[in-house]
Amino acid sequence: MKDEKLFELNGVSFLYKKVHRKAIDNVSIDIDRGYLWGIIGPNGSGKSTLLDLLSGYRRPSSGSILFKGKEISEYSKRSLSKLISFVPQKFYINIPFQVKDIVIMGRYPFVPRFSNPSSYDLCLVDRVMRMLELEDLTDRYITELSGGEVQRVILARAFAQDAPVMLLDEPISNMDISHAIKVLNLIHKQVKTRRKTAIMAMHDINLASMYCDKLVIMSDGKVVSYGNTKEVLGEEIISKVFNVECEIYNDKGERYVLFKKKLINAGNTCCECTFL
Amino acid sequence: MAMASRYNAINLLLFCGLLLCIAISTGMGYIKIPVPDVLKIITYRITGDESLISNLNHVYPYVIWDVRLPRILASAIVGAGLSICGAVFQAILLNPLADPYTLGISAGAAFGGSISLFLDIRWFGIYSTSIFAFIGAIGTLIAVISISRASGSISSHTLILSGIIVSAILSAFISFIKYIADEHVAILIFWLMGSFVSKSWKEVITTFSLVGSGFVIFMLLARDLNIISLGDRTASSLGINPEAVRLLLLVSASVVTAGCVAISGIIGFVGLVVPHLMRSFVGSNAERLIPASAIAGALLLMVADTITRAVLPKEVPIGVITAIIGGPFFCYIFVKRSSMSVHER
Repeated sequence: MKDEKLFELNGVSFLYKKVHRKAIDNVSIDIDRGYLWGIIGPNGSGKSTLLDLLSGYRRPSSGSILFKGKEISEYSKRSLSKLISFVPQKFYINIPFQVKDIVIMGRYPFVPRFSNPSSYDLCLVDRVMRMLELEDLTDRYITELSGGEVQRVILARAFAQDAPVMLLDEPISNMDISHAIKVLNLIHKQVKTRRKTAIMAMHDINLASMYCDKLVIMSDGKVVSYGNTKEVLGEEIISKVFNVECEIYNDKGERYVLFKKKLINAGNTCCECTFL
Repeated sequence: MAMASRYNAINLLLFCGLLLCIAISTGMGYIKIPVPDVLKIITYRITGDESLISNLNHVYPYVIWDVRLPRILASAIVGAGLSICGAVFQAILLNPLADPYTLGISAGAAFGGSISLFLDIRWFGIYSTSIFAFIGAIGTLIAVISISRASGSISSHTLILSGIIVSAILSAFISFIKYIADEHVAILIFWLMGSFVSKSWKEVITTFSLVGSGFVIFMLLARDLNIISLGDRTASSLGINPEAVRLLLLVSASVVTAGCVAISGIIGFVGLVVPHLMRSFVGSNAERLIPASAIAGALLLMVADTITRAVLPKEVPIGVITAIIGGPFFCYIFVKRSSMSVHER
């Protein structure tokens, strides 16, 4: 099947006005449909801002973003909400909603005002809850859950939206490895069996290499490299971008990145300072 | 759908309680009037059937219809208004401890009212103080929103901070006015503590239309209000413009609050306690929380006003009653809820 362009970014930059810092610096990439995309890069490299731009939450300061061939700003928020779901990195909720209240909110774009969710909506919510093992938490208050549980609730909310494009900003950062693998399997399955597209910012490079078909490697607001994971992920680029020495092992078709204790550029070690 | 039927049962129960309390409390007071007579007089005023009251004391209809009922209805409407505004403010400001006064609306109203009392301004007759209080509240809101906008975006953090700043400045001015007020200071303090004494039908109808339209707007936006509590990014991805919704709700809730404060003075704790309490019965979903808070708030403030009017030997300002009862009660639910759940932060 020929690759179909989902997002086309052309010379996109984004400037945080207050601090005068270019969070995204002249990025031009095409994101093809039907793959699991990973965005990796050090802290502050622009992963989250890139996702904000793709979701339409922020507008680029310059350059253009086409979504399905049309400028993303030309879509109404409501029509985008049926096409793109978003899992934010930070999630802070102080209002004691029950878990089921939050998950059903993912269906709001599809339920007309003042009408109750249809049986299809309820069935979908039910399935999503089971997929993410939230059945026992349905009546619990979100304010009482642990960080990893909250993250699963937010994911369930986005899954319930059932949009063809999923943007996920570090969706597994608070989960234990078993839940993380389970969630990644679910996302992977959604992409493979339903031809969805998932674009996921993440920190764990090994998990990224195991699950992502394609990678975008970012550093300092620029895209350093992007494309098929197997072609992009190399010792040299990872060492350079993350500033840590590493080795890559191949084992039964999977690639594993092993980091060393040694930083490539330890920075200016201050001679006067005796701390540590 | 056990939740839905439980919700309906709670609302029905509260509503019946409200009607019952209106009838009972109208009969209470210096002149005791039995409930059946109260109902007869109300039916007579609505239907015009004079035979209903033919064998009653001729003062009764006047006492019921012109003196007590406006006051009782005013207290119920203000209670409902403050409670729904409380629920809305808690959701917009992402803070279950917010209330209608968090953004300094009370300080603004108090300042406006104090100025009119201090300078003895009577441009609008007996409504002067109310109108000044309203202007003061709206002026404060504009100041708070502009400060919040100037410091970045209209988010819950910037709003709460600018609310605190503006309130602090206004409180200093109010203290100054009290200090220099001399003979006016008693009226001023009494007004600040809130009262429903001598409310007229005109005021009841004005407040009702204000609170009623607020209720309609809040219910229209209830779903968006729920989504906003999930944070701006999530709200935006669900097809909502969070900043626009926040501004619209902020302005309408503030106007409703200002209207309530203008006729009754500053009555604390209702807007904080009622939504909090109702959350534990109907949940946090605004589509349910707002109607339930409206009825419960009406019931609560009406009972409180009846206590000060008809039960206590001497009338105590209603704001003092709500604070004395509401404060410890809030403390109780706060401690109870905290001990039930283990907070991780």
